[in-house]
Amino acid sequence: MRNTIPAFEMDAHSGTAPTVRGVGIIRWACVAAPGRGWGHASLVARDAEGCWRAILDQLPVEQLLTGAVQVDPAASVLLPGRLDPALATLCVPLAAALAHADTLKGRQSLRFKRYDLAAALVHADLLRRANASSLLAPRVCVPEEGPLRVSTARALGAHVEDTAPQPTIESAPASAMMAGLAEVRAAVDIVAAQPWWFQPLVTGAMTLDELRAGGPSVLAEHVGVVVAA
Amino acid sequence: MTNPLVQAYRTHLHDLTPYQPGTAPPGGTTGRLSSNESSLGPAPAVRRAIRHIADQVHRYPSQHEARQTLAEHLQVPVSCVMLTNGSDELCYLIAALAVDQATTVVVPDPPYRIDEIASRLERGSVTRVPVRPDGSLDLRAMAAAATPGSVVWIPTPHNPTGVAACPRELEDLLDAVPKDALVVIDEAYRGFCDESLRPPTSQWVRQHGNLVVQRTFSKDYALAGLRAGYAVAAAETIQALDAIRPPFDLNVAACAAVVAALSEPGWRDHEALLIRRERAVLQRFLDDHHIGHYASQANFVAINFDHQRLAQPLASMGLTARAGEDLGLPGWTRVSIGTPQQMVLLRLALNEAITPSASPGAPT
Repeated sequence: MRNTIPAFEMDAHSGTAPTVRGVGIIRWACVAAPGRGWGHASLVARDAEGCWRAILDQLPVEQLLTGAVQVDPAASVLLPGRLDPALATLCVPLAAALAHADTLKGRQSLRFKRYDLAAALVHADLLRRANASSLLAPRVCVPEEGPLRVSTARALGAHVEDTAPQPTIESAPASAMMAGLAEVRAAVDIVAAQPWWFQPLVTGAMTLDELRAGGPSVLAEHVGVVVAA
Repeated sequence: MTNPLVQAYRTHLHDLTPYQPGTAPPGGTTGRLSSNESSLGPAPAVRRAIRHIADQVHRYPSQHEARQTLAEHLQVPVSCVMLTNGSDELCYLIAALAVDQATTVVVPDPPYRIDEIASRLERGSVTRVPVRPDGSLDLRAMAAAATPGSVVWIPTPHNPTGVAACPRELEDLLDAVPKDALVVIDEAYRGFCDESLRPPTSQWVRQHGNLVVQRTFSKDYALAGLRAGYAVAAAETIQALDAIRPPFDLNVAACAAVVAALSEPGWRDHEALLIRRERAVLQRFLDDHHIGHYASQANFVAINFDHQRLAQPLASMGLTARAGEDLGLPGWTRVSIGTPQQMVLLRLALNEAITPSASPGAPT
């Protein structure tokens, strides 16, 4: 398996990155920003054989910042080489969003309480499904003020306003976005096949030092943030 | 050996070098930050439209619907717009219409290459007016260089500096040039500018019959591979350009994509916001590290850093950028603003180039 950006291979043994016991070096973490505290990270790691893996654990971002990350290497899914490791960080939270989107089948309109990563993934997947089946996608409304979240919602066709139709859908909190190996494998296949549905959701990328310097508030501005460890 | 026919008929072009497109890293275009392409790719509506148009490719194209949709979008009469096979085709059409051996053609120095190539093809006499030290166009000097019948090419934001012209100075230039001098304002990168640097140029054509506004769907609308550009000008100018336009120059896929792209402005706005945000992050990084750069308003930044020193660190990150010497800026590098992920890699590469002893790819 080879990733699409060779840089990750050559600097995989940087001594400055936090290690994942038994797996190797964390390369990217996708951070869901709940608007309070640091939030959680979904990890993508590269093992000693050059394979990229999406790791199921949702870790507190503080663990990334301190470098004390430990996860179970068995709880991981191999990634296809054509999948950008940065986008692969979306696969674990997407796996949970897929289940959430299943429960919304048939709705003509939805109102999310906010446009965080969880809500955006559900929205993107509903659009993807509608597009594949030539059905009308549900009308999505969301009250948001942050420019990046507003523009992401609008890019995917959502209406950003307060007077939205019912029912109201609470987007899944990041801590609850857990999924099994099978669901993550399905999510990997979806992102690898149609990455452009999900690329707009990555509204920021930074190094660990930049993340530390920005503080928790920087995450709340974004929909999804990718961190290079 | 030179072909004697070429030698006989093309002596005025003997020192013209072909336009060189940006290069991609080995293995694909993923890390190409050398061609100022869109980072997100086309809007979902565009992808759907292209799939649907597959059944129609046996038909000759008509740009009627696309032209109508564009005119409504711009709020100008349909007689004042025309679509072309990329805005580069429009450069050649304008030159064919307005340039001959007696024409003084005014371009910035460094110029946008296609403007100069198209003008020289028509045997125009090209006058280069150096940009100011801050990379902005010296519009007063360009106006002064214009003579009756001139063609004045004004790319704003300029490529390769990325600096946008002051709207007030643009209006002054339009007032200052001879009334029969054609002014072409090329706004390929307009979508990435701050609001205050986006004057209503498409409305200016009502007052200025000698103005052509040139734009493209290649950048913020992400249709570079389909080739779709357009002109806004007085109806008489559009009529004249239409008369020399090759028939069916805009293909069916491009026509459909233009209509679809205009129907989904949210995607374009999102991309533009991401680009402006990542551009600001990069410029702050460059300032923090005392690396010179122009105050770009485009989806690229010209960095005062030798491409030869930067190429290897970029390659190690799977990225390519454009050597400034290809663009008239020797000693500089022009870098397109890519996805947030690509921009992290770019900052890591710059950091490595500044401090060669640092571990490859180590965080800053």
